[in-house]
Amino acid sequence: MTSRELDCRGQACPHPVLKTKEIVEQGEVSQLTVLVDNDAARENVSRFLERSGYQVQVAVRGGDLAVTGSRSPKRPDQPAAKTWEEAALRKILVLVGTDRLGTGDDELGRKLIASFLGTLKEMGRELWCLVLLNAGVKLAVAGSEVLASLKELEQDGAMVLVCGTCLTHFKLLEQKQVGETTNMLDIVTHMQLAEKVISFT
Amino acid sequence: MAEEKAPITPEMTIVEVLSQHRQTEEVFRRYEGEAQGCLLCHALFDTLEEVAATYRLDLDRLMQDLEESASE
Repeated sequence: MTSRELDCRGQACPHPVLKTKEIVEQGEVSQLTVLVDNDAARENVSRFLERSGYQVQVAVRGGDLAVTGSRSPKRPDQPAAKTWEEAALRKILVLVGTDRLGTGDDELGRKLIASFLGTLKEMGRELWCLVLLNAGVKLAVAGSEVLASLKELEQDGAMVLVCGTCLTHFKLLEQKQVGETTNMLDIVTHMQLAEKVISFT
Repeated sequence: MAEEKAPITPEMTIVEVLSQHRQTEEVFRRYEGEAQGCLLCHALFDTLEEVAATYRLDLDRLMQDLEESASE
């Protein structure tokens, strides 16, 4: 059981990820903290660590961001850090392919999606993954009324995956404020791993 | 004896290509203008064919540029 800390401040992508990868591939690190100072590095390092089997937490440290990946799953004193399997929770994936809920009135639809995402936290830790695609990606960008709800879900441990092709299509790639930019392979893989998929399109 | 490196294929992600061939970073940076975005920031875990489709890049030309860079 070893802990390492890696200082990647001042470095642009892909360098923080490649350095993180070198350490992870040594295979002896149970906890790795990577200090970064930009959002792209935070997102990419977090994503790489998650793909490598780490549970990831991000904390603000001074003016920087500390991305900590932990591979020590059995921590009875910290039940919140248990994996879904250990806690015997279902993995629920919610796919949102729209920025409004239902048909009939668009204004009502926008209110309903805001209400839906604000209420989604009631699923608790069983909410494993939220996928936003097509117009749903508009919920994750600057100016969205539901940003706070999405950030809260993410802080509570849910993955928020945002379709990169869709962000590019709507020219919103640079405006994304929450979640990980993802691709179709990631989305399909997560749907396969999920025990329940709820879809709104 | 030099370490044998895997050939670059369209199914490889950008990070996989970079891990094997560090010098290809310059190629991805060169494509930023054409892609109108930072590939190394936003597409690190996408495969080359996904990157080409998403950013409307010529996959054959990208592959050729990467292979040339990797062989230097």
